[in-house]
Amino acid sequence: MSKLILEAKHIVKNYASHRALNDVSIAVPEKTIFGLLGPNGAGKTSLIRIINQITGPDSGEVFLDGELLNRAHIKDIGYLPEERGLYKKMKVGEQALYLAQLKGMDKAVAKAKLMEWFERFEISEWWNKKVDELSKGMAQKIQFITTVLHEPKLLILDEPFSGFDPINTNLVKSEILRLKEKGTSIILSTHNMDSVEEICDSIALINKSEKILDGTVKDIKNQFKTKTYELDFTGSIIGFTNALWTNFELLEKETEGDNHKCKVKILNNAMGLNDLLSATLPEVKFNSVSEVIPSMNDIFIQVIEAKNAQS
Amino acid sequence: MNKTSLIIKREYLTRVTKKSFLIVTFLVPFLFVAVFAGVIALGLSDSTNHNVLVVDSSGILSNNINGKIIPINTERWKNAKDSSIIYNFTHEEMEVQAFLDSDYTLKISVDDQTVNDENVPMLYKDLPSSIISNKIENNLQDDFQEYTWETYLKVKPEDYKKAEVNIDLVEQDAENLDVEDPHLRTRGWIGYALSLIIYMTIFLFGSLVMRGVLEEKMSRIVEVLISSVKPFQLLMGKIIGVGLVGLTQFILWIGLFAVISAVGIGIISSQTDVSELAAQVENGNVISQDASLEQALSSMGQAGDYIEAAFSMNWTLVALCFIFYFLGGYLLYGSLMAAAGSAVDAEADSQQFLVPITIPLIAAIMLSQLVIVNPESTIATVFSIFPLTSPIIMLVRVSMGSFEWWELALSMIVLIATFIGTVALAGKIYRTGILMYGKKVSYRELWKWLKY
Repeated sequence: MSKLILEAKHIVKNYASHRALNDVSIAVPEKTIFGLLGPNGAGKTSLIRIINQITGPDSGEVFLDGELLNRAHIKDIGYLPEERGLYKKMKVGEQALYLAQLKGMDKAVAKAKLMEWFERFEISEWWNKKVDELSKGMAQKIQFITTVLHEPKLLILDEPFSGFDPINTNLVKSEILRLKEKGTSIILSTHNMDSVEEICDSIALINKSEKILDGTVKDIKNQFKTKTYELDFTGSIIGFTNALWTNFELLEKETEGDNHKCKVKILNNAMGLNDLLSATLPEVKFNSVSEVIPSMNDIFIQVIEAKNAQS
Repeated sequence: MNKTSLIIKREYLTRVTKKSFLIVTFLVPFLFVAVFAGVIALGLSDSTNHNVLVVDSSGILSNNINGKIIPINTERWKNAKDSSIIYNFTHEEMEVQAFLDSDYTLKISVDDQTVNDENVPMLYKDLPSSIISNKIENNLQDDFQEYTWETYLKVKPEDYKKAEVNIDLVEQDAENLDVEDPHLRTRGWIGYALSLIIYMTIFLFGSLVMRGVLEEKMSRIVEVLISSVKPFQLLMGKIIGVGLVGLTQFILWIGLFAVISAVGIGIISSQTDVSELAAQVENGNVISQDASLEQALSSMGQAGDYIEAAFSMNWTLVALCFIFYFLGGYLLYGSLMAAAGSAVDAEADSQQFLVPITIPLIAAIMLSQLVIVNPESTIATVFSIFPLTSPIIMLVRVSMGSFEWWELALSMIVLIATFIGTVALAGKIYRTGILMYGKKVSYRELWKWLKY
């Protein structure tokens, strides 16, 4: 396994009336994008705040790049919180410089880097504008820049796409991927499952203060495969359905003239795709066959509902 | 650069470079002087002129000289040039309707019975100010007093004046006999004015801190900030930054006051020179500088008292105490107000926490009047040491010069200890409060936050 940028071990965090995190451990491999998923109130933000040293855990340990987390790590982490904003009356450039200096950057270096970012985002003319003259999307761009400006080893983005239009969402997405290419490790906390699918390498799913699932996206998807196949064929749909005995279940069908598209689940554990094909081959002519891979969205809903039904 | 000093710098610069700061700094002294002068001017002059008819049917106050009714004491009833009262004497009573139709604004009626029943009716068209009424009453009082001396005691007013004695009680500290101290209480009122400034600035800058905390919370920048700095650094940076703004404002105000009063004194003294010169020429003699100063002061009445009292104050000590108690009180109340700001989502909700915080401050202002009356009482001692009131009460006592050194030392130590405690306490509330959104916070909730 590759080197870990962040490792949280057995984190417990209690608030006055409830336990926000119950023995949660996560491991984030270096130079990857890690999705931190879970419904609202699951404890994601509590965990992120512990990593950012905004609060401390009641028990458990966090390691960053192999070292026990300490104040010196502040400059190694960039954090874009879900509840985020800027000083409304302060000028954009001045404000970005101030935030960079608070992260420990030298003023001159910060200024030069800021100029670069402003140019890449084509917003150089905003430097002397006040934040309340900007639109929400514009302000989000500034926030993104101030989060990544000090080139942190670990970037924590909490719902980074909220408030962006599709064009800017793509811009930010490509910036995230570019940063990953350059070697930054990224924790992405989001409800946007499409983006998880698209850019995350591995994930952890937290529900009701506990981690209930983690691993690489590929492994998890394989784990949640249900032996369901999509079959595209020409021929008699009646003959096809009759051929499906008790071992198979027809989930969906879509008919267009003589052409049919069906989703079939194999119920018998001992059987595979070959058994399905040989059972139905005499009846129809196949055009294509593919395995149905569950989406992260389906997995998310399925796992959480199963867990909630349990308790 | 250290992170806390970065925060202090930002808090300081964003406020000092605001237009409103400049306006407040440069306008307040002028407004203060203008309002002060305006109040004095208004108090001194009743803008309405009074044409007073004195009906003296007894002839006690006036004589008929060649058909003209003239007051016996012409000096007392004379119509001074700048006076807004003109007196007209008559021996003939006037009907009410006739008075209403006349040009007279007031009519007073004196007769043989006045000496016995001691009431003089005064008819008016519009109620005169109490200053006018008092003037008239004083004149009547003096006239009748002289009349009764002459009539019943057979003493001439001049002789009575010679025999008259006026006693002033001079309070003197037995441990400090060298110092003559007729201005103790007047100094108390000067101290009261100083403590009012402290009171207002604690309010002003305390609520600036509170609004700053709320601004960061409402604009949602706070979580970004505390991922870079500790909440306590952010809180202290804000409190210190705003406090420095306050000090800057004080220094500018003191400077401006110095300039204004120098200009003002220049104008006044140039005017007095002229009038003094005129008086000297008229009297044909030259009076010494000291005597003229004393005369000037006594002619200024109460204002003169205040100036004399101000000269008798230990200004170095008072100034040091002023700065100390401003800073101590500000840190104490400012941190509490910051905690209040962190616990709410909107300025309007902050009232429930602000009211209990400010009650001791308001109580202190009210108590300080009692302290001036009785500066060495138990109440004065207790509340000049109790940290929530000491910035106000102790300053009054220091201004009066009526305190023990151990009391001052204890008061300062207690204040320092308390604000360290409150800042720590406020820090705990702040740390939790700034990340709480959309939650109505109760005192019970705050208590829980302290234990996180």
